[in-house]
Amino acid sequence: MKNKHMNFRKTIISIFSAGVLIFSISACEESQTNQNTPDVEGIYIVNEGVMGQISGSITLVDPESGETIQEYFKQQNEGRSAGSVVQDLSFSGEKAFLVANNSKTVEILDKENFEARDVISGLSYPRQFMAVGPNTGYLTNGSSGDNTNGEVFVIDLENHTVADTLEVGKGPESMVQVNNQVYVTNSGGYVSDSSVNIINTDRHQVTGKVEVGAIPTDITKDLNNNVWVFCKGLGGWQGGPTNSSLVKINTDNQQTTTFDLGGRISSYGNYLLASDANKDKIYFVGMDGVYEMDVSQEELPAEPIIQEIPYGLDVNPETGNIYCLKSEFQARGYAIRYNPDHTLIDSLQVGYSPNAVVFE
Amino acid sequence: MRSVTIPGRLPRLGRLIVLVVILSGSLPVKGQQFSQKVHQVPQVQVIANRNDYYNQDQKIMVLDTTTLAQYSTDNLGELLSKAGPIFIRSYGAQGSVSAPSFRGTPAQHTSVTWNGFPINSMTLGQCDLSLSPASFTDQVTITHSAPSSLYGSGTFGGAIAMENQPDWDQRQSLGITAKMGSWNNQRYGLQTRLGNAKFHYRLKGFYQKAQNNYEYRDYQQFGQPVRERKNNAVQNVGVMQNVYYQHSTRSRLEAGVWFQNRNKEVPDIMGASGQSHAQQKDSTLRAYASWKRTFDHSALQVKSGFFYHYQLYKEKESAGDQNYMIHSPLETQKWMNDLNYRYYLNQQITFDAGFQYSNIRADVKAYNRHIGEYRMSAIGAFQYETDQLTANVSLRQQFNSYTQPAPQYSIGVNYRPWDDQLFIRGHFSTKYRLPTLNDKYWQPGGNKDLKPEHGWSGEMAAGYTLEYGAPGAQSTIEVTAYQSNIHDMIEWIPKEGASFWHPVNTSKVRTTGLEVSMKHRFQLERLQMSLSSIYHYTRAMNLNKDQPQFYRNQLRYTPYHNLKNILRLSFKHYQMNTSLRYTGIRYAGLDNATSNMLDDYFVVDLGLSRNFKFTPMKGSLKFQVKNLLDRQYQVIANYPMPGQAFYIHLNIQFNQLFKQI
Repeated sequence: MKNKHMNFRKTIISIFSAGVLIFSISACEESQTNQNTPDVEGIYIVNEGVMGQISGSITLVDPESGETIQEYFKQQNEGRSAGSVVQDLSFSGEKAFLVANNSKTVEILDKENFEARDVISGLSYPRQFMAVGPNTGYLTNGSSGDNTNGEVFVIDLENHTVADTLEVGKGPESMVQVNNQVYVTNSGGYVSDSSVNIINTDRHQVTGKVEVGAIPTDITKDLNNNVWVFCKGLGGWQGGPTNSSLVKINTDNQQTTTFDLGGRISSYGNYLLASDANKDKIYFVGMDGVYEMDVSQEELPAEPIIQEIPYGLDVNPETGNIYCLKSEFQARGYAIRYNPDHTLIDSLQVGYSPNAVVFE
Repeated sequence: MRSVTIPGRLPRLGRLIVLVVILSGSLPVKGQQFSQKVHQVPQVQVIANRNDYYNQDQKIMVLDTTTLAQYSTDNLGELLSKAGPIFIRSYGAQGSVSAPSFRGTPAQHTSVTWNGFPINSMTLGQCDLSLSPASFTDQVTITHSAPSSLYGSGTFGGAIAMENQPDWDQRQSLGITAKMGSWNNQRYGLQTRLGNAKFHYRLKGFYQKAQNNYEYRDYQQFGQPVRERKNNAVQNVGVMQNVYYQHSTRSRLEAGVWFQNRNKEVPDIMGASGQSHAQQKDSTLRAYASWKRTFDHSALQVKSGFFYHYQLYKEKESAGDQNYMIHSPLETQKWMNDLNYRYYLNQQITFDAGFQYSNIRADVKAYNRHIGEYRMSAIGAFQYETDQLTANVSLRQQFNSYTQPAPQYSIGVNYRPWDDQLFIRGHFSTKYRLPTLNDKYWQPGGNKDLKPEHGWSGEMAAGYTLEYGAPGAQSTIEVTAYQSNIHDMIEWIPKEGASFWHPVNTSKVRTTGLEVSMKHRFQLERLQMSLSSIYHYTRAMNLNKDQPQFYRNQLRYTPYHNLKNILRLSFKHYQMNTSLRYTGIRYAGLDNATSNMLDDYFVVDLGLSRNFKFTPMKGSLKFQVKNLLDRQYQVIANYPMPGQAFYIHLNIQFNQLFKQI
C-alpha cells in the first residue's frame, strides 16, 4: 500500500511539474480568455486536526481516481505534522501557504513537493491567507477575545514578512477578491460581529464596511461580481440564537439582499458556502441540508439537493462535483463527493475535521 | 504485622521466589496493611477511620516515611509518578498540571482525600496533584479501585488518601529545608512541632518558585529548532497547621487548616510560534475539625470540614494587550460533615454506621448562575475477623439534588493461611461517579439530566512474604488481577441540531489488568539495600457501541506497560537513591492512530546524600540529578518534559530547642 501511495505521490508531483510548465506557458492566454473551467491537477483536503493536538493534515486526492494520500505534508516534511488546527491552504505562483490557527503560523511550502521553506510567526490567531497580487498576500488574524478589532496583515510574498497591518472588524475570517477590492468577513472570533470590510488592494487601505448578518464566516462571488456572504447567526452563548442567513452584496453600490435561512444551522463548520465553475450557482448549507441556488434567483430554493449537514463545503471548479466534508471530530473525517446532478460518487476517508477543499 | 522467620534452608517456594527476584533484577512492593484495630476498650489513638478499618480486602499501598522523606520537596504528582502505582499525566516540569490515571481511568475517577475529606475539583471532578506538596502529608495511602460504598463518588480508578498524624514521641522540633536547582528552581520549607503529652501542634510552610525555561527540540515547528520553554514559570506558597488535643485516653480533638496559592504560567503546545500569554491562579483554603471518643465497646467520630477554591484562568492575545482574550474566574465552596459510630460486638465482629452531609456552592462565570447543591449518604459496614481471615461488607445509599445513584455495596475477604506470610485476597464492589458541576451547568451544553456513571470492579490477589532469617532481610511479592466496568460514562459530544458540545451518558469502558509488585530488603553489616518494583499491564477498552470506529480501542494516554523501580543503598552516613521508570506507548487519540502515538520512554533519576549530626542539630545534604540520561520525552502529546536537571537539597532539623513543656 505504501509503495502504491509512493507511486501515486510521484505521479502527482510529476503532474504538478508538468502542470506548472503548462500553466506558465498558457498563463497569458488563460487570463485573456477568462477561462472558467480550469484544469484541476491536485485536490487538497484541509484537515484541521483534533483541537488541543497537533494532528492537522493535508489529504491529497487524485482528481481522476479518487485515490488519496493521507498526511501529505507529514510525508514531505520529515514526519512533522501540518500543525495544530490547520485552517487554510492557498497557492500563489510556486508557493503554497499553510495557515495553522493554534500553531499561530503560516508556513510557506514549495508547491511542487510541499516541502516547507519558510514560516511566518509572531501571529496571534491566523485564519485565512489569499494572494492579491504577484508579491502581496492578505492574512486575516485576531480572535477579538479581548473585544478589540482584528486585522488583515499585508504579507510581502518575497520576504515572507508582514509589510502592513490593516484594522478591520472582530474575528476577520474569509476573503474574496473582486477586481481591486477584497471583501473580508468579520465573524466575531471569540465574540461577535456582523460586518464585511472592503480593502483596496492598490493602496492596501480599508475603504468601506457593509453590515450583513451576524457571524459572517464564509464568502464567495458570482459571475456578476456580486459577493455572497454566509452568516451563521448568533449562538445561544452569544446572546442568540438568531437565524443564519445568506447575504448578497452588490459590489457596485454595496447594497445588500438578505435571505433568511429560517433558523440557526447546526453545523460546527465555518466554510459552508461555495460557487460553481461558471459562478452562476452558489451552494450553501441550510437547516436541513445543502442547497443549490441560481445567483439570479430572488428566493431561496425550497428543498435541499443533499440531505447532509457538512462541516465544510466546496465545489470542484473543473467538474462541478460537490464536496461535503464530514467531521467525526475525534476520528478521521470524510469527503463525500456528489456529481453536479447531486448523485453520490463516493466517500473518501480523509484527516481529522476536514474544513475545506482546495483545487489547484 | 506478624511474620514468620524461616531459619536455615529456604523452602522450595522461597528459593523459587528468590530466583525470580534475582532474575528480574528489580522489584517493588506494596504493603498489605493488616488490621491494627483494638477490639475492646480501644484507646482513641488507635481508632482507625472507616476507610482504613475496612480495607484489608482491598489492594492498598502505603507510602512509608522513608519514601515520603525522599520526595519531601516534591509534589504528590512527582512522588506518585516515581514511587506510586499510578500513571501521572504530566504536562511538563514540576508545578505543571499532574492528573492521576489509575488503572487506566481518566483523572476524575481517582478520589483524593485530605484527612478523609475529598478534595477533587467540584467543577472538573479531578485533582491536580501538583497542588499537593508531599511535605504536607505524613502518610499517603493508595487504594486501588476503592469501593464507592466507603469512599463515595469517583473511585473507579482508586483513592489517594493524604493523612496528617501527630507524633506524640517527638514533642519539639524545628526543621528547615532548602532546595535549589536547574531553571531557577527554588524551594524553602519550614516545619515545627510543639507539644506535650496532651497537646500537639504542627506548622508546615513552603515557598517555591521556578522559571522552568528548559530547552527542548520542537519537532513540530519549521526547522525543528531547539527552543526555550517560555511562559512556564510557577510560584507556589502554602501553609498548614494541625492541632491535636488528647483530652483523655478516650477522647481526642484535632483540627487542621491548609492554605495554598499558586500562580502558574501556561505554556503553548509545541509547534506554536511566539509564546503563550496565559496564566492560571489557584487559591485554596481547607479547614477541618474532628472529635473521636471511645466507649467500652464502641467508638464515635464526628468531623466537619470547609473547602474553598478560587481559580482564575486568563489569557492575552499578545503581551501588550490591555484586555484579556479569556478571563474566566470560578469560585467553589463545600461544607462537609461526617459522623461515624463503630460497635465492637466481640473480638471478631464489628459494625459501623455512618452519615455524611455536604453542601456545595459555586460561582462560575460560564454557568451564568449561582449553584447550590446538597449531597447526603448513609453508610453501613460489617467486619468479621479471625487470626487467619478478614471479611468485610459495606453499603451506602447516596441522596443528592439530582439523580440518585443506586445503592452501593462491597464485599471482600483476606485469607492468611500461613499466618501473615501468605495472603489471598478477593474483592468486589460497585462504583458510581456523580456528574461534575461543569457537566451539569456549563453554558452552553450543561446537562442537568445526566445520570451518575455506574459500574463495578472485582479483583483477586495473592502475596507472599519471605523472611531470610538475617535481620532486615525480606522479600515480598504480590500479584493482582482485576477487572472494572464503567457504564453510562459521561462524554462531551457534538449536540445534534446545535453547534455546541454537550455531555451525555454514552460510553462504556472495560478495564482489565495485571499488577505485580515486589520488594526486597537486605542488610550486610552497615550496608542496607532495598529494591522496589511495580509492573502494571493495563488494558482499558472503549466499549461504546455508539462509536463503532473506536470500539475496543485503548483509552487515550493509557500505557499498556508501566514499570517503576526504586533502588536505595545506604552505607554509614551515605545514601544513594535511584528511580528507573519505563512507560510504554500510548495513544493520544480515541482512534488509536499510530500517527498520534507517543513513543515509550525510560527515565532515570539519581540522588546521593549524606547525613550529618551536630547536637542539637542533624540534617542531610543531597545532590540529585533528574532525567539522568537527558531523554526527550512527552507524557502528554506535544508538551515536552524537561531534560537533565540538577538539584541540591539541604535539610536541617533541631530537636529539643526548648525545655520540656
